[in-house]
Amino acid sequence: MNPYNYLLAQIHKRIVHYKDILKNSWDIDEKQLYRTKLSDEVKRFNYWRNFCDQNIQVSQKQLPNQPESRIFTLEELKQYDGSNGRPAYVAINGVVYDVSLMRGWGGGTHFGLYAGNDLTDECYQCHGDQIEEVLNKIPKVGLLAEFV
Amino acid sequence: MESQYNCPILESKETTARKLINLAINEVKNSKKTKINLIWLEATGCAGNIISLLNADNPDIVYFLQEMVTLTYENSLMAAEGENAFERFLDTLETEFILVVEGAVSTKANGLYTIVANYNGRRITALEAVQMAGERAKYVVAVGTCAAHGGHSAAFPNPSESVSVDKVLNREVIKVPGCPSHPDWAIGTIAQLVAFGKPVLDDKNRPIMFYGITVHDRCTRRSYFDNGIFAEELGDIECMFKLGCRGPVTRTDCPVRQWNSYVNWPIGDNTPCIGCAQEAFPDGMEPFVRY
Repeated sequence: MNPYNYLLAQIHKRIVHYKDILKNSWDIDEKQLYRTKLSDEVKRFNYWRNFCDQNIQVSQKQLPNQPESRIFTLEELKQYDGSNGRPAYVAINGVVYDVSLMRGWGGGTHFGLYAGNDLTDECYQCHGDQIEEVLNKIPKVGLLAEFV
Repeated sequence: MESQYNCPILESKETTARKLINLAINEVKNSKKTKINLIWLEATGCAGNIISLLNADNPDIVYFLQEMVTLTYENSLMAAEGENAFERFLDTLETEFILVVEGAVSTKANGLYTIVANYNGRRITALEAVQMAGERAKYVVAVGTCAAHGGHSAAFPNPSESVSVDKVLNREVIKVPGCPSHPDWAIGTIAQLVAFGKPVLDDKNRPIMFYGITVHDRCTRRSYFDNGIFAEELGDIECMFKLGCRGPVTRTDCPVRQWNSYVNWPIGDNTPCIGCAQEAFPDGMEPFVRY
């Protein structure tokens, strides 16, 4: 399991709190103060997320079948379709990828396809030639139960 | 200066300037007549692009018509009607002209889903007109996403079997997509053709000067995206990526050029980009808003 989850969750809670204050505040100085705090927290969040991404990548290289990797069933995967602020996950070839911040996946959709599904066939049909390059750029979050 | 010799050179000096001026004026008058002809053909579309062209600001439509090209055929703007109008189309085919097509080309039933003229008792389909003019034009410009990529006319289930213009012609077609295309993009491309020749095109035949960057590259909310701060509903000021904004996959200069005489653009007006100039619009750009 990702040991940084707790840390990231704490930071995310603070970010949500600050955003809430900013939304409801009418005082210029207060807004300025919380804007600075918010940007600090976001930077902190990004730093830790990059940090733990790198760590996960390193351990993946060492142990290709790491048992700590999260296993998704197809029903679980359907939850992560990018709607209502949830992350957008896509399964390709048994590996579950996080496409939430990929540029082509605005709103959790990509050229008529919806996240939260196994899109192996569609992916190969369109990206067949450069499939390696395309998949290497997407962060991995786990494996699909049906393939393990 | 009087002299007893009648030197012809001396005499002519009094009239040379006048002759030169007349020559120059004639040259200017004649060169104006060599403005290239332009046919603007509305095929299977909504005529949105000619309306957008009429909104042109710098330069405006009057400059376009007076100084840049001689518009010989455009069914919404021309004064001639009926068979006379189509005769102007046919006459232009004998000269040097630029063909601009807006709207896709319907191909079902040999193009019978779009009739552009009735001539000599025969129905002239858009398919026929595009092919007739397309093979003889000096340049062919497909204005609007329908003409350039199929667009709305070719959206599922495509009952008229509409296709983009380059699929019915056997030659290079310059694509100026957009729904509608910004008047600057259309006039700018035609200006480049008239003055200097073909513009530099990217791998999808769009001029790089307008389609070289994505909306995302110059978006005013880009720093929100970079810092991972996203809007949760329409009306929020943050990045609308998670609501379905297609800025990152759409190549146009909307954030910089803006619309309606450069006053605003979708994201500036708090609505996400729907990727109207993208190849897969509209089917591949849906859903436009996702909650």
